[in-house]
Amino acid sequence: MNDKEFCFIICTNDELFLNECLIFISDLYIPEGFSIDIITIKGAVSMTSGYNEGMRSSKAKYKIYMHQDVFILNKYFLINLLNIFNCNPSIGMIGMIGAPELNKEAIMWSVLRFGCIMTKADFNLPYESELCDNPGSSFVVKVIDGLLMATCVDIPWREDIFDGWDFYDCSQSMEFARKGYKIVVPEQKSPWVLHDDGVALSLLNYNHYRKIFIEEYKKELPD
Amino acid sequence: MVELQKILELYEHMEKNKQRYLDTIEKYMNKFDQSIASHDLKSFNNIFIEIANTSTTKETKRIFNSYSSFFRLESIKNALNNENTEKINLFWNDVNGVKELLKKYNITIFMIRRLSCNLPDLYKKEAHTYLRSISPYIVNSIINDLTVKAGNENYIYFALATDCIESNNYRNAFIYLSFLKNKTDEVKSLMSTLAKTLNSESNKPVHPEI
Repeated sequence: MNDKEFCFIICTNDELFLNECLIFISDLYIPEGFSIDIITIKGAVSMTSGYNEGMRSSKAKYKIYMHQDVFILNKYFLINLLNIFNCNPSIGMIGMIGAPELNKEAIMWSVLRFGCIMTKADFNLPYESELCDNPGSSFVVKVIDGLLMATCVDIPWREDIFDGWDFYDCSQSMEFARKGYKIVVPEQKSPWVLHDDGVALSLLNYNHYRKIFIEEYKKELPD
Repeated sequence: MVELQKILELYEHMEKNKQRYLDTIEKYMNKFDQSIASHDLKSFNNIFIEIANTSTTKETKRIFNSYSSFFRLESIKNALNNENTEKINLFWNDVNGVKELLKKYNITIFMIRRLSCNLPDLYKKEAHTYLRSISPYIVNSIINDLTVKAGNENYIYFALATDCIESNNYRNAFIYLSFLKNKTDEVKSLMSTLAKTLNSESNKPVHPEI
């Protein structure tokens, strides 16, 4: 494991989005002594299999799994991640938005969530990149949204049961918890990322994987 | 709790009727594709009229509201109709189908967004160059598109108006300034000057107080 390296792992099917995403990554401040790598996976049959392939291909300790339509606005992003991981060795994963608890229906956006992503209203003020001056104040959560998931330890993604494009994020959050790791979402004065997913999402397979998730993790969900 | 129940019912319905949802999406995307390929604005508009029609099923309307590409096509429609009214180049003139049109829309979103983001000059210059080639109406549509987070709208309009003035495109400068909310006296005065310049240059008067 190279503990001085960050690796961005992105499943992609759209060069246009990927190129724009990479522009923002290329403009991040890199902590002194560190390097970054970028692994893009084309033609993945599922998010989990793509991420497993990326994970196996990199020796970087810090891996950032992200969507191609996520644009990292905060230039101190990598420095902040490092500070949060270093402030508590039990933290295994960091997300941008997440839920401290899930309901038994396992629908993340129907429960309280911490964190934020850029909205239209956020653009009314000039954007300022921020150093996370209190990494210990991050919110501990149960699950995070898959738009961006940063890890400091490798745990295989459940491609055995999540063979599509939904619930890989909640599943991986549960896998980290099963291995004894905490998952956190940082306090963000301004959102660190923008997610260009559009308001309306394609959820045709969502319910299928929601049921698989509930079945696999039923002991860890409320009754 | 009631809302969650409704959401669950919706998800169940989507799962059970997935193929029908996909068939409907494909049906409408094919219609869009044909009208875009032939640059037939009337038939493009008619697709939206058909969807809004009360005889269209609730399910079809729900599908339309759950697929962000449809929102974006509607946003493009608004721009095209404005461009057509003003008899200027239509946004879709150089595309041959729905995929290309949405790709061009996405490129435009990225370029607009770069204006507000703190990126190196190289990328901002690229954005300014690109945005000179499209109409203010598509920029306005993108800013008003609920599915898009483009940037600070007044900043964008002002930056593009300035760009247009510097390249002597006073008509577009005027249009961008007309989109500004809470216009200052300076902006109104500038618009008045632009209007006078345009009115003296062409037979198509521009009303100074938009």
